[in-house]
Order: sequence, then structure tokens, then C-alpha cells
Amino acid sequence: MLVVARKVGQSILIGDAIEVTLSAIRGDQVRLAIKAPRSVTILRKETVEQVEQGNAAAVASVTELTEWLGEGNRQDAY
Amino acid sequence: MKIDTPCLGVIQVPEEAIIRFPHGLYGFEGAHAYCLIPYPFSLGNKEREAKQAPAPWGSPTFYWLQAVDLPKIAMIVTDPFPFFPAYEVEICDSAAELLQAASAAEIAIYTTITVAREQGCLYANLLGPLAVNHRARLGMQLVQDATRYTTRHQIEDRLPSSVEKDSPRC
Repeated sequence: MLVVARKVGQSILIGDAIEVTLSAIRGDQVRLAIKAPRSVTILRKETVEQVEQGNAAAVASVTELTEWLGEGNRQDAY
Repeated sequence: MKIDTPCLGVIQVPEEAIIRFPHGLYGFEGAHAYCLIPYPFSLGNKEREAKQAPAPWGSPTFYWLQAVDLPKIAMIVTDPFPFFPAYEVEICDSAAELLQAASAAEIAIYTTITVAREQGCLYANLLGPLAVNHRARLGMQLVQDATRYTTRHQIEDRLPSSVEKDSPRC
């Protein structure tokens, strides 16, 4: 892993199409400005982790859900 | 082709029902081919169909999403819009390109479902919807704005009027 020290206003370049600028620091939070082609997906890691957990939960509940949809809810649904 | 599933056993699925997810789903990056089966399914298994009561909501609202080569990866998904009419999905250019979609109208949206049986509730994952271009048989999972959506939005215990039997669906 590469670790680079930057001051506010300084940037790093990733490849020849992505520029990440440190735009501000407030307490323990930094603001990053990212310039990248529209084809590059930029996501917050914790959001992706939430989606991963959501997928795992969906797989884990499939058996129960099948029973629930198949029987449990049928009376209520009519 | 034959597909092994955890709850339905081995089922026969036409080749054209297979949807490719080039990037896989988050956490399941190894599975790239899925089939989407209307629930209750209709795949020519007469014996099983005979046992199954007809769906109370007419046209299928729920679907199985089953990984073709990995029986353990199966989810139930739904069309979220009857349940969440205000739900908005943002599809970025790179996603539309991957899905080979000429317009947004070509893209169908599904959300995965989980259940909390004790509470008798179903939840939809509106944070990570699945976008599918059925024409190109391509799909991908999108990540939406986490300040607006989570992985657990409760589906009303009753079925919404828009999915009542025989009503037209859009």
C-alpha cells in the first residue's frame, strides 16, 4: 500500500485520468475532490459493505422466505 | 439447461432465461450467471405446480434469483415500485453502458428481500438494487445514495392495491 502525505489543495494522480485533491480538513474529517471519467465508479466503502451484508442476508433468509411467501402470508394476502 | 437450487431442487431453465452479471453481486463476485424465475414459478414442473396454490397477486411480484453454477447463492427479489412508489434509482452512465441499454426504459429494477419471521415483516434492500436489461440479458447491482436508502425497508404487511389480482402493472 502506498501512503502519501498531502496538504490542503494538493492532489494525487491515479493513472492519467483520475485526480484526487485534498480540498479541506475539519477535525477528523477530510474532504476529497475527485475528478474521474464518468465510466469510473466511485463508492463509499462502508456503503458497499452494507450492500454486501444485505446480499448475504438475502441468501441466508431464502429458505425461510420461501416458506413465508408460500404459506404464512397467503391467508392475509387474499 | 438444468440448474440445481436449494429450495426447488433441480429445475429446467431455457438458455434465454440466463442473465449475465459481468461484475457479479457485491459479496458474491464469483457468480456471473443467474436465472430469474417468477415465484410461484412455472417451469413445466406440473407435479410441483399442482401442489402450489395460485399466486394471490396475479402476475408474479416475487422472483427467485438463482446463481446458475452455485446452488447456494439464491435470493428472492421483487419489483420494488408497487411497494415503494416514490423509490428512485439512479443509473450512472457506466452502468447503462455495461447493461447495453439504449434508454432507461430498457432497464428493469429488482430489489432483494429478507424476512423477519418473528415480526412477520418483509424487507426490501433499496440501497443495492439490481438492474437488468432483459433484451441483452445483462445485469448488475447498483449502489444508491446511503443517505436516502438502506438495505432494510419494510414492505407493508398487506399487498398494495397496485398488485391486486388482475390489475394491470406497469
